[in-house]
Order: sequence, then C-alpha cells, then structure tokens
Amino acid sequence: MQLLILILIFKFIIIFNYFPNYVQCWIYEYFPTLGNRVENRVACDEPGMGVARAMRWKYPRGNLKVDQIRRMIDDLTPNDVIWRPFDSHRQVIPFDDICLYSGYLRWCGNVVPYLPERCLRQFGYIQCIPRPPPNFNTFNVDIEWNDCHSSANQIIRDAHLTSYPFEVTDTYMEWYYKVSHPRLIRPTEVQHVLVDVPTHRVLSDERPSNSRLAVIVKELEGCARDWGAVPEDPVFKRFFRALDYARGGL
Amino acid sequence: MQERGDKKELRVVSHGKKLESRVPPQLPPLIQGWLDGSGLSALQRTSLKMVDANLLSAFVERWHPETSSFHMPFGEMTITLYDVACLLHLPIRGDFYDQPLGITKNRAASLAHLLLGVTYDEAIAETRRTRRGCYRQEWLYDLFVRHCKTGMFDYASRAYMLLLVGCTIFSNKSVTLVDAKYLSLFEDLSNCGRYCWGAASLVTLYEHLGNGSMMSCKQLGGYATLLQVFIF
Repeated sequence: MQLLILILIFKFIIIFNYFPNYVQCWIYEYFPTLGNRVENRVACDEPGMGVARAMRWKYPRGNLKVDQIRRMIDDLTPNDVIWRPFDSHRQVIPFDDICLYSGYLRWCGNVVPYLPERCLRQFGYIQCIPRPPPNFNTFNVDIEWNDCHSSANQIIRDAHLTSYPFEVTDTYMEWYYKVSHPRLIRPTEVQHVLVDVPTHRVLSDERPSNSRLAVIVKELEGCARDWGAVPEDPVFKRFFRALDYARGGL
Repeated sequence: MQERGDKKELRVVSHGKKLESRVPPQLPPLIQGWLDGSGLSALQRTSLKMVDANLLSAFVERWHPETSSFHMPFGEMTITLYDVACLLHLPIRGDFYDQPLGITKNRAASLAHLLLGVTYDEAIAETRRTRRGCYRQEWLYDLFVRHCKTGMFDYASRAYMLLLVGCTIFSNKSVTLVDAKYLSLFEDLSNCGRYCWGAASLVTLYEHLGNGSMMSCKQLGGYATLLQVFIF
C-alpha cells in the first residue's frame, strides 16, 4: 500500500524550470524556420524610439511536440540560421567590442564561462578551431573583466571576416564532430560516440550547402531585389533559371 | 546527431502576464529618473506573455555548461552579450556584483526594514511567510503602491525595481518570490547604472540553462528531482 502511494506521488512530480522569456526571442531571431511566431508591428530598429528587440515578437503557443522539434533542430543547416540578426539594430544599440571579451562572468557568487571565440560566426568572423577554455582556477575574473579589451582585441586580431554568413575554416567541422562534440556530450551518452558520426551531413543536405553556391544564391537574390525582378517577367527568364539552378545545389 | 535517449520534458514557467498588469502607464518623475539612470527601464515592456515550453526544452538539451553554448549540428552557438543588449536594452559595461549566495530570513527582514521603509515586525512577518530570504512579488507591488501614495519615492522605487528584475532577468522557478539578496543592488538609487546588468542576466540565464540541461538528462533526472521538485 505504501509503495502504491509512493508510486502515485512520483507520478505527479513535475520538474519546474524557469527560463526568462527572452531565450525564446533569441531562438526566433536566429532560427526563422523554428517555432510558431507572429511579428509585432513595432518599429524596433528605429533609432530614438527606445524599443528593445524583444518587443518584436508575439507568441501564439507552439503546437509541436518536443520530439518533432528535436528532429527539426537535427536537420537544421547553417543556411537556415540568421547569423547576425541584430545588424539591423546597430543604429539603436551600436556594437561594443566588450561582447568579444573571453573568459568568465560573475554575478552573486555564480561564475560562468563566456567564450565568444567558439561562436565567431555570430560576430561575422570565420569560425576556426577555438582554443581550450581558460583555466578556471587561475583565472581572475575582475582583472580580466577590467582589461576586457585585451582579450577582445586578441580575438579580433586573429579573426577574419566571413565572405558568406556561415563560413568556417576547412578543419573546423571535422574538429567539431571528432574532438569537441563527443568529448562534450554528457558522460551517460559516451557509448553513442562510436555510432556513425555524420561528418558531412551538412554537405548531403538538399539545400545549397556548397558555400560557393550559397554565395551565388545570395548575390542573385540581392540583384532580383534591387531590380524589382519578378519570375513572370520574360526579360528575367534566364536570370531566374540561373537562380533556380543555384538553389538546387547542382 | 547522437542518440539522446529518453529525456524528461521540462516544465517551463513564465510570469510575463502578471508583470504587464503591474507596470503603471506613468511612473512618478522621480522614480522614472532613477529607473532610466539604472538602465533597466526597457525591462518594463519586454516581458513576454507566454513561452513555448517544447521549443525551449529542445534547445536546453543542447546546452553545454562547460562552454556555455548550444551544440548545434553545424557548430556552437550562444546567447552573446550583444544579443542581450539588443533584446533587452541592458547595459553591458559595468561592475559585477558580489553578494553571498544565500541570505537568511533575518537578514532579509532587516534589509527590507532599512531599504523598503517597513517596520521590522512587518518585514519579519513577510520572510516568515516565505520561509526563506525572499519577498513575495505581490508584497513588493503593494509596497510600491503604498509608498507612491505617501510620497516616499525612494522606498517605492526600490520595491518597483526589485520587482522588475525579479520578474524578468532574475526570475526563478518559485514563480512568485523575489530573492532578497538583490535588494542591496538598489541601496544607492542614483548609482544603479554602474552595474553590468547585461552580464548579470547572462550569468543567471547560463545557470538556469546548465541546470536545465542536467535535468533533461534521464540518469541525472532522479538526482535533480530530489533537489528541485514541486509535489502537488
């Protein structure tokens, strides 16, 4: 009987976790293909209005199950990501080099790593293999934070601007799958590392994952926008055929 | 990607709706001035009403606290300081703030007596009610309204600002409580702008994500359950 009650109690245990809602805004900004969202008609990017970008979104409740979303995330390609969503907001909040400070952040006794060199594409730089995180025991948060420019400048000095949004160095993806990723998955999942790791998953995708084609698509789409070209216009027939070929990833 | 096995879906709480009803259309000029100086005023309008728990849950599983980043199929991504600056218009330069992690009921009560203009007895009654170093959001809001009426704007302002950060960047899973340790942040009202609120929100967020990614893992689930559960 006691066992039964215990089982009943455990059935009703709900794990609560709190996340500030702006995480969801962050997801919406970077991943236009995920989730169910409606845009507010607020001029967030108008300088002087003082409207924060989190005001941009309205939230109809999502109707997808976690499993479905997991699969969607697994199938994401770098082309599905808006790598620098806040570029249009720079007139309101100018970019500050302090965002490239690398090390640890501290607040009320909590210390967390902050390592922008692992996410360089979000700053418009080519992603290369990052250095290992700094040693927590020898890292002096206050000194490094006050001197944030030296770590930021070091990143800027070593980085190269991307020529297309998701550019990585030749060795990065291999490193990411073979070194970083298996090592950083949770210990309980280690046995799965030996499962065939999809090293070239990105390339086998049907979208123009070939970087050069992606650039061509982007340029052609830009032209079409600039000229106001529509596919129905016979003058642009061959132009749009070329765009279709590029999009098809031939 | 790797098999992730069975994961518990996370229950996600948000209290955007409640905060919205508590933001007055116009603040007294003195409070508005302090709020603008602190760099927190944009928080009043950025709280969102609902969250898509499934979407967040699927992302939390990909969070790695060792690198503070989401591990996506094509590389790592994270929520950067610039992202917080744009999303919430918080200052990203400034000081860190140090306060011991926990705060006792008595300390919370004497802080409230000193900074929120309540009698010590009233404050101790409140912390006895919450049973830890926390105040209820409702209580803070009532204090704000009460002090506004009597013209005690510094007390009103502290109550309001604590409520504001407690509902947004420093919110926790208790849903209705605000940690008292943040009250001393607003001791010197004209000097609140010196804190790096952007980094503060990131630290709290990374901590939440780290806990969430631990809890979403089945093996650790039982252990985490012991620590952080609500039984109904």
